[in-house]
Amino acid sequence: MASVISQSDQAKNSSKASSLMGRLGLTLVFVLVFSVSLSALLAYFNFEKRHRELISSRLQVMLDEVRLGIDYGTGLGLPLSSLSETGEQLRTLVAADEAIDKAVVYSDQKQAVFQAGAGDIQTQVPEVWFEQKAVEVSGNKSQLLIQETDNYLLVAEPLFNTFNVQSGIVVLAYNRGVYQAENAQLLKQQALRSSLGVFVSALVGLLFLWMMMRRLRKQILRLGGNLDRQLQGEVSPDYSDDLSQQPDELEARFQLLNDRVQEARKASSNSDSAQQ
Amino acid sequence: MKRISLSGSVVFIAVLVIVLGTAASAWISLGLIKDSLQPAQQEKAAIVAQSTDRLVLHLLDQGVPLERFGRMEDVLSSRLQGHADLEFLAIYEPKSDTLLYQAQAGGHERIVSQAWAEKQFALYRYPLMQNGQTLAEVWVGFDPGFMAQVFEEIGYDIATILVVTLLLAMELLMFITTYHIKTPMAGIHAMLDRVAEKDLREVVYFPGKDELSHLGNRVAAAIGSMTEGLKNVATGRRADLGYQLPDGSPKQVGLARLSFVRPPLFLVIFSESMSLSFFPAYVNALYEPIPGLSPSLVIGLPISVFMLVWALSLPVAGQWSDSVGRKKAFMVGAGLTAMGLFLTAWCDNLWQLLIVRSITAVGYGVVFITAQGYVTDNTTVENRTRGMAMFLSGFFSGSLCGAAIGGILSDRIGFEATFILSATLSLASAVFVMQFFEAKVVDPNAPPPAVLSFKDFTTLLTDKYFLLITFLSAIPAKLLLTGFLYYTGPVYLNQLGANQSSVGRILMAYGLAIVLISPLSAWLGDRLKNKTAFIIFGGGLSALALFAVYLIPGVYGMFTGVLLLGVAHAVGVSPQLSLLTEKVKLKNGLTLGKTIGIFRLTERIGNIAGPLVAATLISLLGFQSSFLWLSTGVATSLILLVVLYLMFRTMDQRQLQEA
Repeated sequence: MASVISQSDQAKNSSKASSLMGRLGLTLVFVLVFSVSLSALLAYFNFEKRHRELISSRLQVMLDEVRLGIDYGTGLGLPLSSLSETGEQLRTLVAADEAIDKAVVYSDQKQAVFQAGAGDIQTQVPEVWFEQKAVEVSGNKSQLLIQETDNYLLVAEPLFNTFNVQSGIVVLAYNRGVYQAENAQLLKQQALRSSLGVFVSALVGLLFLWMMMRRLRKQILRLGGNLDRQLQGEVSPDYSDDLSQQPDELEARFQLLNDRVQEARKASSNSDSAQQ
Repeated sequence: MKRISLSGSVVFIAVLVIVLGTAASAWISLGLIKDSLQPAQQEKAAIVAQSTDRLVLHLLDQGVPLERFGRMEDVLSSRLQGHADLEFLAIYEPKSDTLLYQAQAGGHERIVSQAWAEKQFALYRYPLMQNGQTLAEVWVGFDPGFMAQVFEEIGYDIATILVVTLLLAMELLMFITTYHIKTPMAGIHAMLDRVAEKDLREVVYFPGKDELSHLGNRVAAAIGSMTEGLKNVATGRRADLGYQLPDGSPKQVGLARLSFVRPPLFLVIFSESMSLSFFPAYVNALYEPIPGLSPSLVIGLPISVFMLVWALSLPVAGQWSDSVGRKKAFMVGAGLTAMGLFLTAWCDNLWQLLIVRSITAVGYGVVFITAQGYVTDNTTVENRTRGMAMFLSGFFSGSLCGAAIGGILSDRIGFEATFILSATLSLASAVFVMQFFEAKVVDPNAPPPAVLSFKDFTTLLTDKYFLLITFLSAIPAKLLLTGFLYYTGPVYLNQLGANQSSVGRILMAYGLAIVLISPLSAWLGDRLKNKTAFIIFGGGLSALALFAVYLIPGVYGMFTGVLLLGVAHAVGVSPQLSLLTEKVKLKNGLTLGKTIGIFRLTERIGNIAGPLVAATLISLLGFQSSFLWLSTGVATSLILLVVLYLMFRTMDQRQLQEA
């Protein structure tokens, strides 16, 4: 026979009863934090990419200016090294935007022909940038090359001679720290607002969950208690707190279990009395 | 009207809070991103103006008067090239109120006034100063719709991220709520159902420590008590009562664990799909010429090898999984997949890549067939369609989320790190299986595991229902999947001018339809118990999907087609295996595992043939006619399926009557 519920069992059950609410509450908060964080993080990654594209597009305007000047000079048959105005242009660009740390024009032999700004970026320029092929689209030979290194966003345009053979490359090294600071600012704002969103959603969710679980817990405790009382020999357990409310499917099935237990007990006691 | 159960309400509340919370967070992110990127256009306009400034001042310094610059419009025009957003660049002289020089992109008419320019472009004006005096103005005009389009794209990207995140969150939530609420509830209901039927031979054991488990164990105790009581009743009277009693105590059985296969399956599929979006680019980085093969074929080679090894591994893996048990097979499969993915990150050349992709394919095949075996083990004929739909929606949900998140991550952390992360996730699924799956109980009296033989193939390939379902339903479905969705979809959409993220979003409609509709359709399928009707409906909808793309040329037509195909497969694919396992006679040593393995192998003919068939049709007839022919082909196979099925059923009934 099933054991009878004692006072200590009731207390134990009560603490067990809260465990389901605790676990579901924890689950709700965990999934909410996971979902909101993942969504915010992926949206941030998307922003980073777009931000980088827009900065590169801006730097492309500067690169175009240098490249068009060089194209004009080399188109007149002048060697790249003789285009002294290019050095001046690079210095102007570095001075115009403090986030540009370095501007360099490399020859096809990977020698810096003109440069402005501090630092050495030669080792960071990908080899493949010196192996470009001219792709002319409606008279435009502009090709934008982008590479992120630890410190810089390197943006470049290859230079081609009149025979469409690569003669060099013009590179701008944009300080990553500058746009990373802007990114960090957005991330911080996102984190703050998302945390607030999680807090409010979790609060509302937990409140609703508590209300639902209170009913579920009461129902489970009542059904369990009824079952125990019935096994003790008490009759007619109540399967619904509120008589105006239609019992749900689970309660109806427990009612049937009650009927069966009664039936079995009756049959068993009849059999006992017949034996006596 | 049936009331929603309390446990159902709890899950509903949790889902609602997570969906609303995450959607609100995504909305906030979109607003912040827009605010941050808004000044970008103005910053670029200033740079363009400064650059033009320098050019003009240089020419003025050379002594050329402002109104006498030669070929200035060509120079301005060259500044616009290579910039999709820049449409107008001009030098305006306020003194004479004239636009001295102007260049435009995008075939606009010549601008004659500021009002006109402001109407046509997002216009920025900057003064051109010389010796402290405004000499002229530089006008920079952008495509007015460009930033709106950028923001719209970002909006779509964030909406995609939201969908993927919610799918992931739902996977997690569903598992935890199933584990804590649904499974114990189902156990209690199962016991109460048996009590209602007066069957007291089995009780469910609840290992949990929460109140639901406690209630379940009380019900089990009550049944035990009833059994003891009824055993005291005289035999004749007991027979009158009609109870089925055990010999001793009621047998204790474990909780139904069907849904436990979904999280590890999701993880493995997720991890393997993480490289889907960038895999061709990764292969391209390792490209080396192979004599006699074109570069595009070489780049496609690792994918083809993967598909081939996967297909070939299925029958052997199915049989092995049957013999060693699902737990061990899944762990080995997930481990092999993890090893393959990890090694992919370290490949130096194409040949190494082909080898490690083959290892991954074997692991993937073992996991795939083991998960299907698990579903078959834990379902009956009545609820197998539902089980298979759960498998299918887990598969596509994992694939959809993996591809989307893998694409974003690879952009951020690189290909190699993404492969290593995916290997870790695959290993995590093995750990999950170790924790939650039960090891196969070795029965010393059980017959030795059956070995797959040529006879198994001939037995199945002479079974009329196997041939019918495989060749007229499963293969056409797989052919459309690879031929229409994976091959024609991206090619057609690129030709229409859609960018990669738009292509991804349109193709995502297929996976979403599967994930959302297949559980519903499976629930209906199990209730209505008419698998054939679902297969026929799915086939008809597939034909309609292709016909829709034929009728509505363009992006919207393609979207409609992809969506309809997703719905068609959600409705019609899961019942294929259920009907097959129901109809095919297991004779001549054929087991369920072998049948599933051979079925999955045979239907891969559709996967392999799909791109070839589609490519041939497109090269011969063009896109639109190909859609019509594919639609006609699917409709023809459907008509044949219906006619032959009815014929076979009549033959079977006649044979039964004669017997």
